[in-house]
Amino acid sequence: MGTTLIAMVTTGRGTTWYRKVLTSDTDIFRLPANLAASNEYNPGAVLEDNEWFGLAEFSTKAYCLPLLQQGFFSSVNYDAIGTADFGKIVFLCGYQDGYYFFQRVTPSRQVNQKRVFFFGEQCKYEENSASISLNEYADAIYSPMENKLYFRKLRDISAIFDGIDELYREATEDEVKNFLDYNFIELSEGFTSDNVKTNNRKRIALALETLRRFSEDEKQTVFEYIKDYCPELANANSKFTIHNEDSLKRLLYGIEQRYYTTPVGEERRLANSVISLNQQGGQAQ
Amino acid sequence: MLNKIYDFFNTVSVTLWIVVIYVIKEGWTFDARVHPFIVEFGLLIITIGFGALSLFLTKYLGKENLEKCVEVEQADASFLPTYIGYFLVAFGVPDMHQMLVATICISVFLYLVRWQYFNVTYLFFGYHCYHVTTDTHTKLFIICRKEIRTPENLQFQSLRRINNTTYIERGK
Repeated sequence: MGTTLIAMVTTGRGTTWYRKVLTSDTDIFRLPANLAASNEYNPGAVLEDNEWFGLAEFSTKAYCLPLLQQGFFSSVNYDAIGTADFGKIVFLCGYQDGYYFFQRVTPSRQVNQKRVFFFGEQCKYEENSASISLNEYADAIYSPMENKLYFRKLRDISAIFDGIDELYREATEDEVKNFLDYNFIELSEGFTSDNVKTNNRKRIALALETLRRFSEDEKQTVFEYIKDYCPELANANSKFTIHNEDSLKRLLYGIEQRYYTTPVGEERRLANSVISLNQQGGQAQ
Repeated sequence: MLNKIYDFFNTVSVTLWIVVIYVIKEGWTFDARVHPFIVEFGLLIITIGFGALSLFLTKYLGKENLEKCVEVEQADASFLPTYIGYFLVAFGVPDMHQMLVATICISVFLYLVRWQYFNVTYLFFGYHCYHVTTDTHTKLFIICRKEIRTPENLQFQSLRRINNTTYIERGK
């Protein structure tokens, strides 16, 4: 049926607007076959090659674009894109068969490059070729029928949907300090909140959320569980000694209860990716 | 690029009317070799031909769609005074030199303005023009064959973009 492509263009001074790029007769984006089997977003999950995360009730979220909330798509509402806009594109949005496809376009993807064009036997060289290459699959796909946003990597779409990274954000400096001040943690070897890097900051944001949900008894159960799996963390005062990023990571994994033992062979393992079986098929708890 | 070529043909087709009227007024016969009717008829065909050519070129302009309108207003008649103005100019100029200057000036201005402009030659091809306001309060000028009386359920699936405010509807 064809695709209508618009681009979000920034002026560099914080103002952005949409520009009409083109309408093609052929479909530009490919609709993945297995969107229906998507998982509810979970920062602890690592997706297989052809899996997608799905975010339900997307149009009610604060970070949803007004473009998606109006319910229909008229390309005449957008001015045509000009050559001056090249290099200032933030993302492309394609409307195709009732779906919206989003692709992030980083500045490095839109520099004028030297290129050789291939047309069968004749090739052409171009000094300043302004073009954008598209991915096989879009970074995000919005289905208005299901009101669901499908995506694979949160990092890729955080520039498209402003504020969506609240789904998996880094803990603030205060939150990190707060976490390290918990009475079950003992810092040693001069380890402070300054030493905590991005990945652990994200894990801390999640762990604080998890701890908030635990009752005192549940906390004690989890601490016993961590001591069982990571005896090297526990010290004589029945606290956890954190002396580097790695020990902090192991404690945070413990709070998320990612350690488990196989029923046969009793092998102790760490779950690298976590997908809740209760939520599979989009049934949120 | 194509929009510029379209603008050129459209401008020529509009301003040729001045030349046609001037020639009719002067009764050109090319030293009595051709009957004035034939000259006039020939020029008229050329003028309409340029209009047809510009209309044909719109096929290659960018495709657009419009799903929802909140206001629509017929605009055919609003261009008649402009054309009457052209005719008066053509009747008023005393010689060829002044006629050419007037035509070139009008052409240049038309080409530069090129904003919500309707070519009356399109009337011969069954086109009408409308001022349309979309749901986002964007004001557009749409040239189409439809007869529109209400913005309700008004949709355009195969528009072509002449410029950011002017669109023409045509088939695939």
